[in-house]
Amino acid sequence: MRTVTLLTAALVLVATATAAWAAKTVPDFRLYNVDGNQVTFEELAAKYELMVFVFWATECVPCKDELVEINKFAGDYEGFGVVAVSTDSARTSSQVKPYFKGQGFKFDTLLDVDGELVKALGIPGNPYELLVTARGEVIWEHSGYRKGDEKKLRQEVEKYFAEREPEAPGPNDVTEEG
Amino acid sequence: MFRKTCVFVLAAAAGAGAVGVTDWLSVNGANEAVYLRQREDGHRWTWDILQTEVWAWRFAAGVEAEFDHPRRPVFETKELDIEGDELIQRYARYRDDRFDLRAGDYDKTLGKGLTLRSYEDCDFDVHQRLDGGLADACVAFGGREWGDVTALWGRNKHVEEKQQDFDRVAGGQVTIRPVDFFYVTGSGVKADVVENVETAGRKTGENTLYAGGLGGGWQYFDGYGEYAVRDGYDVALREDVRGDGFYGIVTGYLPRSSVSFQYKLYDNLAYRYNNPPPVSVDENMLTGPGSPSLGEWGYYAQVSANPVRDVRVRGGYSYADDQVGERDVKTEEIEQYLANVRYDLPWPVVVEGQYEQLGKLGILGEDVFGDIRRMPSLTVSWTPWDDHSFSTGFEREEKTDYTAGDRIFIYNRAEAGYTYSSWLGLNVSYEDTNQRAQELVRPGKDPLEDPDVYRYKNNWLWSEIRLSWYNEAFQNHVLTIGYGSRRGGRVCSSGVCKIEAPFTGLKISLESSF
Repeated sequence: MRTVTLLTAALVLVATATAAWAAKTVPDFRLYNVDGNQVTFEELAAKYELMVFVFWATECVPCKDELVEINKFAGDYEGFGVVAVSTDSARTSSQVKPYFKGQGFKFDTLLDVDGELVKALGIPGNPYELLVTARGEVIWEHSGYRKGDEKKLRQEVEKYFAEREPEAPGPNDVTEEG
Repeated sequence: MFRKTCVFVLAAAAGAGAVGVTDWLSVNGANEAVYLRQREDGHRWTWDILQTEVWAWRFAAGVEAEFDHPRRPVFETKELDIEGDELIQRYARYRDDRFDLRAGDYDKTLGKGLTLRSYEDCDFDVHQRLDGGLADACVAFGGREWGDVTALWGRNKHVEEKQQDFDRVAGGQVTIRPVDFFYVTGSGVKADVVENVETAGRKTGENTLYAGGLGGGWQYFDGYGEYAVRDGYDVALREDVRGDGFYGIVTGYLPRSSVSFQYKLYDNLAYRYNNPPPVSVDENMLTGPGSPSLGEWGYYAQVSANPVRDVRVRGGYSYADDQVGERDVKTEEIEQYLANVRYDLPWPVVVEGQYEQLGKLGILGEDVFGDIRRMPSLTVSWTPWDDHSFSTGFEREEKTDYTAGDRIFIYNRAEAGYTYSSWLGLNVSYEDTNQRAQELVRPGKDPLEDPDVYRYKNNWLWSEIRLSWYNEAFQNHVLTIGYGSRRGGRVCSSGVCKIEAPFTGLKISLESSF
C-alpha cells in the first residue's frame, strides 16, 4: 500500500513537472496599493515597459536600505518603474503607508498581505528582486541586499533598454528622409 | 527571453545593511545591543550580538559574535549566575556571480530538502551551526542557468549546550535545469553522530542519506517531490538501520484562487540530526513533529480564494501521525484546521479573523491521551491619515488537556500599536492566563506546554516605544525601550521562532545595520 502511495505521489509530481511548457512569468494579480486602490499587473504593464518588483516588509532592515538606494534612480529611465511589494501581514500592513510617506518614496507600493504573489512567484524571503517586462516575463532575479547591489540592478535595466529591439515604425510615422 | 541568474543570499546577517568604504571595500552587518533590568531583584543582563562581513573585492572575512553578561536568561535557571559568556564564530568567504564559498564557523540554513538538513538538530528546532566548509556554485552560460551545486563538510555544533560535539557531516546536492520549467536534483549526506553526555564522546551512530527529486512549474501550477533513502548504523546496538522517505508539494494557481497539497511519508528516515520537512496548514510546524521517530505520515491541503471583491478566505486541513517503536504502530495523531478571512473595508481599514484548531492524540497501547488547542484571533489595522497607523489584535488559546484530567488552560493576548511616519512606534500588550506562572526560565519550553511554570503570575502588561532613524553612513537604527512584564514562550517574527524567557522590568535595545 505504501509503495502504491509513493508511486502515485511520484507520478503526480512527474506529471506536474513534465506538463510544464512555459517560462516563469508574473501572473495577473489584483492587489491594493497604499492609497487603497486595486492595481492589476495589466495596469502596471500599460504604464511601464520594464519594472522591478522589490519584495520587502517593514520589519526587514536590508529591504529598507535597498529601497532607499533604488529610490535614487527610480525615475531615471523612461518606461522603467519600481513596484515595491510589501509582504507585511494584516497586523503591520497599516505601517507601510506612513513609512513610505515618511521616506518620500514616489514609486508604486502594493500590499501582498496574503502572500498571494509571493507564493505564485516562489519568493523565498525578503528582500527579493525580479526584473519583469510588460509581457510579464521575468528576465532577472536577485536575492538579498548588500551595498552596491543596486548598481547591478541598474546595469540590468540599462542593458535591457540597450539591447531591446527598436519598435517597428508605424504607418503614420514620418521619417526625416521622407 | 527568460534568463534565470544565479541567486545567492548575500547578507550575512538577517538585519544586515552595508557601508561602502570604497568601490572595492565595504563592510556590512548588523548589531544588536540589549540591556535588561529585572524589577524584583534588580538583576541585570546585557548582551551584544554582532554579525559582520568585511568585503575586499570578492573576498570577505566574517564574524558572528555574541557577548553575554551574564549568560542570557534563555538558558537553564541554574546557569543564570554564570558571570559571562561569549561565542565568536569566524569564517572566510569568496563570492562572485557563480561561486559562493565559505570556510570556518558560521550559521547557515540549507533549505527544506530531505538530506541537506541532516546536520540540523531537531531537538533545537532551528539550529544550523556548521564548522567547516560550504560551497555553492552556479552553472550558467549562454544566458541562462543550467544548474547549481552545493557541497558542505565539517562539524555541527551546539551553541546552547556549549559542548564540543564531534559530529561530522559531509555531503552535497546537484540541481540540473535542462529547461526553464523543469529541474532534477540529487543529493547525499553522511553524518557521524556523537553523543558526549551519554557515551563520553564515542560515536553512537552513522547516518547516510541519498535523495533524488523532480520539480517544475509554469504559470498555473508548480510542484516538487523528493525521495530519500537512509542507510545508517547504530554503534550501540551494532546493527544496520535503514529507512526511506518521500516529500512532495503541488500548488495550482487558478483565477482568483490557489490550491496546495503537501504530502510526506517518512519510514525510519530521521535520526537525531535530521529534520525532514513537516506538513503544516500554516507553515508553523505545529503538525510537523520533526522528531527522530521511526515513521511519519501526513498531508495537508489548503485553499485560498478571493471569491468577491475585498474578501479573501483561506482554509486548510492537515493530518499527520507518528509511529514510534515498532514500525506501523501509530503512537500519535495530529490534526489541524485553519480558517482565515480577511476583509478590506472601505480603505484604509483591514480586518482579519482566524480560527485554528490543533489536536494531538497520543496512543500508548490501549490508552489514549492528548490535548486540543483552539486558537481564534482578530486583527484590525487602520491607516486614518498618511503618516499615522493603528493596529489592534486579539488572540486566544484554549487548551483542553485530556491527560491532566480535562484541565483547561486559557491564554489571552491583546495588543495595540501606533506608528507615526517612518520613525516612531508605540506598542502595548496585555496577556493573561487562568494559571499562575513563575518567572523562571524553562529552556525550550512553551509555558503553555509546561504546567509547572504556572505558579506565581497570571497576567502581564508590556509597553514599548520604538524610534527608528536612517543615515547615509550607518543606515538603519532602531532604539526600543520597553517596560512591564511579558510571559515569554515561543515568539515568532517573519517566520523565525525562538523561545523567550518570561521577564518583568526594563528592556532597552539598539539594533543597527551598517
